[in-house]
Amino acid sequence: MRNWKRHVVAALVGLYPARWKREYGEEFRDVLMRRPLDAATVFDAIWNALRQQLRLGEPWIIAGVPLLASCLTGIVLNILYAGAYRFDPRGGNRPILIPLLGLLFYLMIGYWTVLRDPINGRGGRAAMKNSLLIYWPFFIVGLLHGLGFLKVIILGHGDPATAFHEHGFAYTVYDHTRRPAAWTYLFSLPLIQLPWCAAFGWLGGLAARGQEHFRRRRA
Amino acid sequence: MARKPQSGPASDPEILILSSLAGGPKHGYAILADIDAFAGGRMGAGTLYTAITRLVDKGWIAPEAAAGRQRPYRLTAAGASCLEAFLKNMRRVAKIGLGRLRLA
Repeated sequence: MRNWKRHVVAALVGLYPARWKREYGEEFRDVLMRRPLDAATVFDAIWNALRQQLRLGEPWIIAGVPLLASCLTGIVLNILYAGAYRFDPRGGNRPILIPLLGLLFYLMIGYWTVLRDPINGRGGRAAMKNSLLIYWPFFIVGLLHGLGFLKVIILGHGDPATAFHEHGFAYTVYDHTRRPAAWTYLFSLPLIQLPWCAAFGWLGGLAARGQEHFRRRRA
Repeated sequence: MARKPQSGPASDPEILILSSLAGGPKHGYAILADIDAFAGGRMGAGTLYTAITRLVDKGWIAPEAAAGRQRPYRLTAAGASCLEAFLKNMRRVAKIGLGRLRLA
């Protein structure tokens, strides 16, 4: 019983940011071990871990976890119910807009990282970590395809999507030119965009450093 | 949404912890036990340490040398004066409120 409690407590303490754990982790663990571990205590520890993550956590994790969840959900839905993703011919601006938003997002990650920790914060590195965190499921999908466990269906404009009972484990890629290798771009996207992430994250960090420098000079 | 005030204790857990430490330095578990005894109800360990983190950052409490796995905290002069000001204000509000209740 005590062993079971130790594991749960270790998992709860593990939810807190590393910087916070270095300062309070040991005593917090001790208090949790000495109090009854009921549902309210567990909920309280999880809720406050979230608050500490938002206060002290690394921006690439804070911003990356919800996006990772949406990526995983998207992949699962794609495999189970590809029909939910219709190829939209009106979405002509999206191929430009989405990468642009992505770059602005990495700019923001770099800015936020350096603003939070001007001494040790590295905007470019944070943006790259964020990108890898969000897109690692695509590596797995690509790997499963390479190993032959997952088929890839490439659909063009007007092609009807198939359902899970028809295609089994298959990932559907929408490409209006129906290029046979369209999926390679999708699955290698995490690597392709790393230099861009680094550049825009670094620029964001530079903006934060400039702002900090300006603020100090005014003070 | 209203911002938390920067000059006084922002929330009940902070007031409870400051009130507990007004009686002398205590470590986390002892603070929880003390709060359970004088305030009733139960404060979670997560809430306690979130409030402790804020109070240390504000300089209202300070950690002392660790005793085993637990580290005692003490009320600082700034924390004591903040708590006093807050409680005096609460007493004034309570006096007015109770007086008006009696008249009603």
